[in-house]
Amino acid sequence: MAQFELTALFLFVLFLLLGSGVWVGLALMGVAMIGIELFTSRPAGDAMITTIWASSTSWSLIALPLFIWMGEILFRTRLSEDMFKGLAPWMARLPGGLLHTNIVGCTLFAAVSGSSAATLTTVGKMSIPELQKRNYPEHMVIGTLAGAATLGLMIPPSLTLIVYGVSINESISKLFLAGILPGLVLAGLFMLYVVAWSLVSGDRHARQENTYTLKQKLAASHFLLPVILLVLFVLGSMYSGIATATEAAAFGVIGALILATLQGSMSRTIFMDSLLGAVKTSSMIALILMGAAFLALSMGYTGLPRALAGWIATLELSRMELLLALLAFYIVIGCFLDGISAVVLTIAIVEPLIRQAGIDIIWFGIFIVVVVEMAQITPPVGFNLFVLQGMTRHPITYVARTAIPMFLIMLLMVLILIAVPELATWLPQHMK
Amino acid sequence: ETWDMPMAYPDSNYHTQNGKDFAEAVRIATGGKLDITVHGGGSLFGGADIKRAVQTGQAQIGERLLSAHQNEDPLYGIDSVPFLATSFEDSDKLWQAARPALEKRLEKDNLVLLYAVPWPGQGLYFKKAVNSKADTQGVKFRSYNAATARLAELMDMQPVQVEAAELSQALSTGVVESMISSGSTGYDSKVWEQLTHFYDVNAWLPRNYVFVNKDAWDKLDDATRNAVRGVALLAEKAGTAHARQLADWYVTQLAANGMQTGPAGEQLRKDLEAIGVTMTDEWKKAAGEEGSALLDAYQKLK
Amino acid sequence: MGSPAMARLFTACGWVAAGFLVLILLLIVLQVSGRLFGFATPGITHYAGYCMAASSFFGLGYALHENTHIRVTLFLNLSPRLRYGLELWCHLIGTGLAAYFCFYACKATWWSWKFHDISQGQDATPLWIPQLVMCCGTFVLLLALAERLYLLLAGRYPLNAVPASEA
Ligand code: NA
Ligand code: NA
Repeated sequence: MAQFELTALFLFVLFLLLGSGVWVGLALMGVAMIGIELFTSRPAGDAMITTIWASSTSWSLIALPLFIWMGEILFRTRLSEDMFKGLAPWMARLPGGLLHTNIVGCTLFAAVSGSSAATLTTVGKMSIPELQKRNYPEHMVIGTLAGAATLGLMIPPSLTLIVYGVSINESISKLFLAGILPGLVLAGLFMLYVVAWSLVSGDRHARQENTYTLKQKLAASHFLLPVILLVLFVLGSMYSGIATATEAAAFGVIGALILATLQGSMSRTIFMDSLLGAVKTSSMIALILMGAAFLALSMGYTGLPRALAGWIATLELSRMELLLALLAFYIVIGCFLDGISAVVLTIAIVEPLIRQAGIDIIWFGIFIVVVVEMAQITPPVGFNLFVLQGMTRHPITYVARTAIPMFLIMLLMVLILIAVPELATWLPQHMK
Repeated sequence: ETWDMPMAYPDSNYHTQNGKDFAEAVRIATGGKLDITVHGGGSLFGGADIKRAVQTGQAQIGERLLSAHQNEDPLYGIDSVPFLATSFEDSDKLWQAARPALEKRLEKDNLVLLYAVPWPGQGLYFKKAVNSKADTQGVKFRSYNAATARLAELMDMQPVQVEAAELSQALSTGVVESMISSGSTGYDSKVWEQLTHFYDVNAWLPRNYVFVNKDAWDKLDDATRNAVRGVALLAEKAGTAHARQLADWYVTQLAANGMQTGPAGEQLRKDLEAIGVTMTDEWKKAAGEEGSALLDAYQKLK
Repeated sequence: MGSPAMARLFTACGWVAAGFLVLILLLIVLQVSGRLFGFATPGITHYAGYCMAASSFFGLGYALHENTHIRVTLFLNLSPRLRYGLELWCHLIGTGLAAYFCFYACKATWWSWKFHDISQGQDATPLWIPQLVMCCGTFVLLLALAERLYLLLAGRYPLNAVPASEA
């Protein structure tokens, strides 16, 4: 089984470079280079630049730096503080308290952005400092964020679903509809987990928050207005036909700038700081994306993902076994690849398997999004982990540990999807 | 030898299927001496990078939409001059006339031309009934290159640039209201979810062409090269036959999914033909003497 | 610490990157306005793409200078001696990879120039022009890594450069 030796070697080099402390993006490049040089006769360096240039200039990634910038503006102004003032009265008595803002915030923002990295940076930039100020336990702050950010890809718009839809010639609108209910269920599961954790651990944060009368709650709600306006502004630009999903990110930046100015919390310094902050974060992510693009190319040359998927094809599994095998497969592949590359590199082999097994192809799109996102919160290569490490400055090992419960919740979500496929198939079948 | 063959379109597309059949046939015809791995759906290199990748030996063989390269040389746009060749027969003749010149042009880019397969004719998609140029005033039209932008301009439409990944959402929210594309693309992207009318005008039949890196080609022995040439010829015939067969089927499918389909009405056809004459002249000017000679050769074959 | 002149260079690159980020915003606003008010804006999606590349590449060295590029720090802080060895290994590999990256970026740009490689979009830009940002950006990243490697070899590298909380 050449593919297993190859997998082992890739993993070894990856762990060696990453583990010894080589910068993540450069480590991915190193693994990719070694893979091509050792196993193919292709010109590694030339191909590296072709693919890196293509990914660095790709229109569908442009929303990412813009949303990061928007997050930097919100973080530096009173907006995020106000949002918490508005939410606190409502969530204060809920077990887990304001930790729920992470999940609610990600669900809201998921409707605006098409990627989990953008969801993560924008919501995280606002909520992490506020939750830290209120002494919520760090591992819950980071863990819930790592998990909830994956909603960015389930709730439309969604980059992964677009790529999946184009690859298999299925309707992107149907896929988008299919993602809504599972996305909300997953958000509900995350919130249930926070409640359960709070009750079991005897967390006192909820009780420390004040109690509010309904009148006080409503009165405080005006603090939420700016953020709600901002979300409506971006959504409105997208669904009124003024802007495409990518262009909508620019409306997010403009909206944040306007709101901050109206609130009187914008200044020259804050504007400049927000820009430089955005440059730092987006360049950090860009280097990792460059490494990931090169590694995906290396995988394409060596044929490893195809070989592994092809091997699964030869096993002649039953429907259930096939789904479980694919679950394991995408988590293994997720050791090297980002979500979109994992889909692109394997779909040609996986699609016929799915169709033969009589599995609904729209449903499978949602399945694959959850599974591929699980891979994004598992080491060694997990993009949500990298982004969180960059934002919180905690070591990756710590971040990965905080994400374990979220991984298990998503596993549960996969099982729920298998048990109740209607979650994904009902909306697309009943809406025109 | 093992070659990588990046292709831009998904595996379900008949061009990619044809490419896979070609690779399989090459393997058999050369007794396994040449083994081509097809990477469909842009999984190795995206469409825009395939020519460059093959030119520089990052892949040995690849496929791309010919007219995508017309910024480099108007010659590459010969298959996409509006209303110059509007049937499979004419498209074949145009290809016969153009092939020698294209082979020469590609050699300059370190490439060897193998075969080319047409797409079904390009038709106009709208959100409303359109009977003449008067109805297209100000309509937001998806343009993806200079020629489609010019076409929009001549129809008094507003050219709007939208990337492929965003197209379906842009159509449903109204960022774009119209486009030109083949029936197959409309079928693949389930365009009836957003648009209502398809005018089967066969404005042009664009081609995907398959090319080999010249250094890789020169390394093959004569017997292998001949085998590949022979298989390529068959692939061109098979792909073209497939395209013909599918062309009507796609339009029927658009209709079956609730779209109004049919040829353009008389006034619209006249307006389009006038635009065709203008754009053919413009292309001739851009392509210079060589272009004029090609068009003459094509007229003789007709 | 590194030389002040180099520090100024890295900061300047950060500002250039910031400028390109603003440019992305302006280009998109222009494109949306064009659609709303009916004027043509051919090729903007591509120009915005080049600006994103410029912003990313110019930001690479700046982000390293500011210690934003992430790495796994599990073993780095076990002991000072191990730390020194590991840092040396990381900087050697990092500098090597950055040099490789920079070399091939320049080669690809040179090829684009030699082949007259031109964008396939409506912008029809000769690709070597936007690709120059890739040469500059990777070169600055190489400089930043090489400077740190040099300081490390000279025994002057501040081992506490990584914030303590990351350890
Ligand atoms: Na989303
Ligand atoms: Na992973």
